[in-house]
Order: sequence, then structure tokens, then C-alpha cells
Amino acid sequence: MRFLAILLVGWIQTAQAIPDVQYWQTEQGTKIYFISAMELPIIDIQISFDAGSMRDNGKLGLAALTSGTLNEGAGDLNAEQLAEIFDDVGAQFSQGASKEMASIQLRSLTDQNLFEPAFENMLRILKKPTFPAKELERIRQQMLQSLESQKQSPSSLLSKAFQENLYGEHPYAFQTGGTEESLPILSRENVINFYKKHYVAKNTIIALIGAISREQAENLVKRILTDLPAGETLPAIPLVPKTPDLKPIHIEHPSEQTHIALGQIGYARSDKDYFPMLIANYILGGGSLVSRLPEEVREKQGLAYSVHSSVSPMLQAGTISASLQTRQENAQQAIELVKKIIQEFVEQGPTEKEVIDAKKHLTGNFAMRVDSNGKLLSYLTTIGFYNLPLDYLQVWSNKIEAVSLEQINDAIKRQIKPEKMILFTVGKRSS
Amino acid sequence: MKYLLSCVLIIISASSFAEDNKTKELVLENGLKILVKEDHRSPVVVSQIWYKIGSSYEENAKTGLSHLLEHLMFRGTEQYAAGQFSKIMAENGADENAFTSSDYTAYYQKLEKNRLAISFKLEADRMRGLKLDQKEFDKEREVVIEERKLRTDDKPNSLMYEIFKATAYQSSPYRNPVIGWMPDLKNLTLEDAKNWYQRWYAPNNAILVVVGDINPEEVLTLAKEHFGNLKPSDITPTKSTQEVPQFGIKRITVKKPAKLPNLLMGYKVPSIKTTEESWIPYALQLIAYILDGGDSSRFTKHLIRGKEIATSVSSSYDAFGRLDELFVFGGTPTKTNTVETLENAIREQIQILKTELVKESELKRIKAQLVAAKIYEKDSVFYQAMQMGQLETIGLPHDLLDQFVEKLSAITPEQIQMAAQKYFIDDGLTVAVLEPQPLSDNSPVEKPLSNKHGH
Repeated sequence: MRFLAILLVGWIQTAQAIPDVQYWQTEQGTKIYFISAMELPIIDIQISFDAGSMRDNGKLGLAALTSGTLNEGAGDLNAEQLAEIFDDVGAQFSQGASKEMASIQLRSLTDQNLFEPAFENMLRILKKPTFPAKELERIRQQMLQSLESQKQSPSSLLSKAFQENLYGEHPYAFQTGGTEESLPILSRENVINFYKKHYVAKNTIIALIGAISREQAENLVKRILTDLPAGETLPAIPLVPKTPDLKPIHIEHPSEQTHIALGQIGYARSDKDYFPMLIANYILGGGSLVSRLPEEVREKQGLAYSVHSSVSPMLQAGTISASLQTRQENAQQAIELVKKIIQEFVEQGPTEKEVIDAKKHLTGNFAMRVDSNGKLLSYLTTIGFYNLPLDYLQVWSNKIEAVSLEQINDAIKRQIKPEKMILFTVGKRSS
Repeated sequence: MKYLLSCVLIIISASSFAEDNKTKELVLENGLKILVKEDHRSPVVVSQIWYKIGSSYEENAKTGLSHLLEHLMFRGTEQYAAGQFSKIMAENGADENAFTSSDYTAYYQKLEKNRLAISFKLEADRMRGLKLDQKEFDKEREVVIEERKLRTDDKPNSLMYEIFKATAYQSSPYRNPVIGWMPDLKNLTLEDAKNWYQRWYAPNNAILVVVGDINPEEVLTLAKEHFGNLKPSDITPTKSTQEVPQFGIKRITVKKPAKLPNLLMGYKVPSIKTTEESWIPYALQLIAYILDGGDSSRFTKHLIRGKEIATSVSSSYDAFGRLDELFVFGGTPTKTNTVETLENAIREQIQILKTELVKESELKRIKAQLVAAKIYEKDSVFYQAMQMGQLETIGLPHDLLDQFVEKLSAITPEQIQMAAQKYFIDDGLTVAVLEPQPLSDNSPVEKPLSNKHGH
């Protein structure tokens, strides 16, 4: 008992030094988020665009192909020359597209002799990409190969079927990597037009963190935005329809384990249930080994190595799911068990103690979520993209603390619909 | 170190930077080695406890035992019931887990800085007080069997890598998969786990590494308080079988349901620990970077761009093994190429290393990347602790890391050529090819997707 009391004191005294987020917006509408972090001679910059695959507009894979070819030629330099400039100064450059956004990212030392060439090179890639036909073709082939590799992975097959079936015709349904049918017909012109329309100042969020002053950050931002066309703000993504009424979906695959997911359409990032559901999900199956699902399925029965639940709110409604993998002969037993746990959770809700423990974990763990420049950078982009308040990081723990058991129960009843959840399985069909 | 320091001092005015980062070292009377490093950027601390035990220590028919024991370390002690460890850590907001490799088993917690005592208390408790019972053992073995299926058996490339290693190493215990062979997993007993725990889990076979927003003196006092009373064991170091010479190329084929072919090529090479001439591992490390470090490396330049032979291609070498290592090349050919073409293209790159001296400009570029990476890694307290622990478990001093860039910089183009000529020879080569077999019908059975989306 003494031990517990000590823990409690430690919990109350938790110190969280969370750096201030500075924000400004340019005349053209670009949102800037900046943290000055002087401890390490490093600067990180992430420039994000509303140019994810949800903007593919029927040309599946276009956002990813555009992003993937961005650094394959710019100005009068070819891919190799661009790569050498970064490598010569030890800078790390990357780019990528997800469902909701596309971004480019640079990590460099702050020494001007190292930083300047890297920064200029990034600007070149951002503003003057040439999308050479030969390189575009190579990236297309790589994407097609990647689709092949998904077919040999039961977890990829599951995730693809899950998204496609739950979202139906909604833009969230489609894989960022495109399809075998769509990729071959994407033209260079499609790519150039996508770039021109989406990589524009109005659709841009710039996040910076590093050993620079506000003034220096403002100068960098000016240089990023010079000559970047303002463009048009894109229309909002349509609302996500309700969870469709579907029978269980099975995909035959010669794997030894059956990969299982139960899922439904959930809620958006801006929903008032966001914080109550964060706690609810932790209790149900979001907390490594201590949540209900891993406790029952793994720790008590040894049925699976990995079993968890997740909530993934996006700009529009995300999904709510539970998933695991188990040997084929145990699949039916595991599915029944998971259904039972979810059903009980929705009917009876969490206990008071579970809520206290979950809050302790989430608030106590927060310091670890923001303990590096890398992690803070991605939070800055998240704050910008989902229009979260500037003090989001400062008040996060308070928001968690403020949620009541009643609010959690209400949220669970509103959001989790066991009878609507669709069952997905990938593996050998049971005989 | 000199270069790195001068570089740092130019850019930041705080000259205490280097001073702050000095690692404090202490060995308790019971043999526990403690390394503490300050990093005050965030109010967090990472604590890792490393045991010198892993799959390369395992005996015949007992593969996977170290990893299974790692799982069992969470299943209760005399003082705490099964699962309590993780519950207490969760309530304290910790990120926690464990990992096992060929040479070590490590446990870690990352917590808010003033909760370090909780981590020490529970780690000290399970270092000597583990309670192993049949029920937990049986259940956890099932979990590990599922883990093996998930990580290896159902992933063609992982399975191929496992078979490749077991083929390349003839007598070295590095041929053992960390997770264990399935027949061994099924045969391991509670007695095996108890004996393994008794034999290796003791303060004199462990290293405690702490990095974060802490006062080193306080950490050392706290560590003494919790770990100081633990009894040491008689640890008899394992005599590991050395790898015997190889007399000719070994080629294997792995046939599994898959869509993409894959190629692995491995040459026998020494590690920093086993090398006769100290410069060799550094030359090999540089070769790995020359071929596959950054987007301008030779593999990307010639095999992915240039000739467009590979979709992916890599070279890797771990200089920090306890025993002799493999220098591994691997990749997947593009659709219009074969694994044979890819093998030839890799061999061509190896041949160039043997016949032409590496340009100074190339070495300069790699050095710039290494110097920068050394600073970037300070953004992660976990990684800093991880590197120290890894070195110490194989008996190398942790401060070797500070000299790493300097040692690499001292390597000459001639030495790189010599290393390539000496080690990249067919008689020490193993080649594995994944030959994809048809997957069964992938179309959904209940409700075809093609009906739904019209593609």
C-alpha cells in the first residue's frame, strides 16, 4: 500500500515542460507553426500540403506518384545531383503522401555552410520539379511492385479490404499507392497538373523546430513561399457515409495465421467524443498489454501475440477497429472472444478504476510523446492540419483529466456499434 | 572526436555542451555495471537493463529459450503477480518493452524523470526474484509460437533470411534464429527456463544504462539502493563455437507462396570484437555506406536509377557482433529483371571496389553524413542508451562510439580496396534466392471486391 501512495504523489507532481508553439499566417493563407529549440544545433522543417490521396479524384495513386517523383529532377539538376547536395552536407530529405496530406521534410545542422545548400535544394525540389518522364516511369514501376508485395502480406490484404469495404465510394476508401488498373494510365500531364493545383500556398502548412530565432524562422518561411503560387483552397472532403451493411468478408491466403479485424466507421478528429474515446480505446485495447483485449486474449488465453483496438479519427470520420492474428484452428474461438469483450464493454462500460488507471497512463506518458524535436515537428503539422488550438500540447493532459466516467460511457454508446462491426479475415478458410 | 567537437562549438555558444554529455560509469560490488548520461532537453529518463545472454548462447535443441525467457520476465515474481509489472509501469505512464538478439536481452522503461525509482525497484526485483510456473509457461510459449508465425513463417522474406543465416553459418551459433526453431519451441520446458534464468540473470551479468534529465550522482545512489543488495552468481562465460572456414560458394533456393523474388548474398567477415587487424571492420563499415548510405550512394545511383535493375537493394554490416559476422547484400529485381541479373550487378559493384580506389569526394560525403548523424541521434535519449548497452554487452567500451567517426575517417581508399579483395570472395559466399510460388486465389469469398468498386 505504501508503494501505491508513493506512486500517487509522483503522479501529481508530474512536471511537463512543453515548449510554446508560435503561430502566424501569411497574407496568402499559409499557416506557420514554429518552436524555437536551442539545445541542439539542428533544424527540422516539414512542409505539408492538402495533397494526399483523398485528392486523387478518381485517378488512384496520383498523389503518391506526384510526391514520389518530386525529387527526381528539379531546376536543371537531375535526381543524382539533388541527392548529392543533401548528402554532401549530411542533410536528410524525405517526402511522402498519405491519405490526407503530402509533405516534404528536411533535417539539417544549423551551421550556415551546411544548412544553406540543403535548404536551397529543398526549395528547388518544392518549386521547380521537372518530373522527368523516365524517372516518372521508374517510380510508377516501383509502385506497381509495391502492390505485388502487398499481395504476399496477409496484414496488407486485410488493411486494403478493410478500408475499401468500410468506405465504399468515399475518397478515404482508396489505397494511397493506387491500383494495378489506375497506375498504368496516369500520365505525366496528370502529375504536373496535380502538382500545380495542390502544391500551392493556400493549401500549405509549414512546421519548423530548431536552434533558430523567430526572426530567422520568418525569413526561412518567406523564402519557402516566394514564387509559390497562392492557388485555390480545395473543397472539403465529403462526409463519410454510415458503416455499410455487409456480411463477413474473407480473403483466402496460404498463411498459417488468420488475420482478423472487426471494424466500423467512427468519428472525426473534431468530434466532442475525441478525448472520451481516447480513454475508452486505451481501456478496451489501446494500451499494449494491460487493456482488456490483450489481457483476455493474450495474457490469459495465449491466443495471439498481437491483439489491440484502435480509433483513427481523421478530418472526416475515421474507423474504430479491433484486430489480431491467430492460428487458423483458433480463429473462430478468438473472434467470439473479441466480440464478447467488445459487447460487454459497450453494455457495462469501463469501471471507475479502469478510468483512473487510463488517465494516469495517458497523462503520465505525455512527456514521452513530446520528448524530441522529431515528435514535436509532427505534432506541429497535426495541429495545423486538424485546426487544433495552439495550446493543444499544453492543455492535452488537462483535457484527459477533465473527462468524466459518464462522458466516456456516453461516447462509447454513441460511437461503438458492435452489431454494425464488419468481420474481415485473411487466411486459410476453415474446413 | 576532435572534428565533431569543433563542429559543434562553432554552431552553439554553450561550451558546456561536451561536458554535459560525459557518461558516468560505476561498477557495484556485486558486479552490476552502471552507465549514466545526462540529457536535459525533456523531463524524461530512459532506463535499460542489458543481460549478456541471447540466442548465440543457446545450446542444441534449446533455441528460442532466451527470447521465451524475456517474455516470462513479465509473468510474475515472488513479490508481484503475473502482469503486475506492466500494470504498474502503465499507471506510471511508462513506455516499456524488451528485446532479445543474438548477443543480448534488454529491458527498458522510459518515464517521466522523477519516477526512475519505480523502474529500478521492479527491475531489481525481477533480476533475482522471478517466479516461473507451469501455467504461465505453457501459455506464454503459445504466445511466442504465434509471434514466430507472425514475424517469420508468414513473411516469405523473413523466412528466407532465417534459412539464409542457418546456411551461411556452419558452426557459429549465429545460425540460431532469435525466436527459435519451431520444433525447439514446442519442446522447451519450464525446467529449461528456470535453469536459463538461474544461469544468466544476475547483477554481474548485467549492465544498467540510464540517459535523461537526471542528476548522475542521484541515479548512482538510487541504483545502489535498489540493486546493491542483489547477490551475484557464478557466471561461466559460454565457449561459442567459432565459424569454421568455408570452402566454396553455397547456393540455396527458398520456395514459398509469394509475389516477388528476393536475393540475399552474404560474405563472412570479422567484427570489431573478432578482427585481427583493428582497421578492417571500419573499412567494411565504410563499404556498406559507399554502396548504400544515402540517396546518392552507388547502389541507388547505378542499380535503382542508372540501369534500373533493382526496385530495392541494400548492403549491411554489423560491426558490433560478439562473433564473426556476415556482410549482407540483398534486394528485389525490377519486373523486367531477374535475381541473376541483380546478383551480377551487385557483383559488378563489388568488383569495382576491388579494382578502383574510392574517390576522396565520396569519402568526404560519407563523413559529412556520419558527423551529422552523430548529432541527429542526440534527438533520441533512447537511441543514445541503446548504443551504449549494445557495445557493453559484447565487451566493448561504450566510449568507442565517440571515436567511431574518427576511426572511420582514418581509413584510406587503399584499405577499403584491401578489405574488399580479402573478404568478398566466392569461397566465403552464400547466396539465397526466394522463388515465389503461386498464392491461392486472393479474391474475397463472401463478397468480391470487384463487384463493389468495378475494378
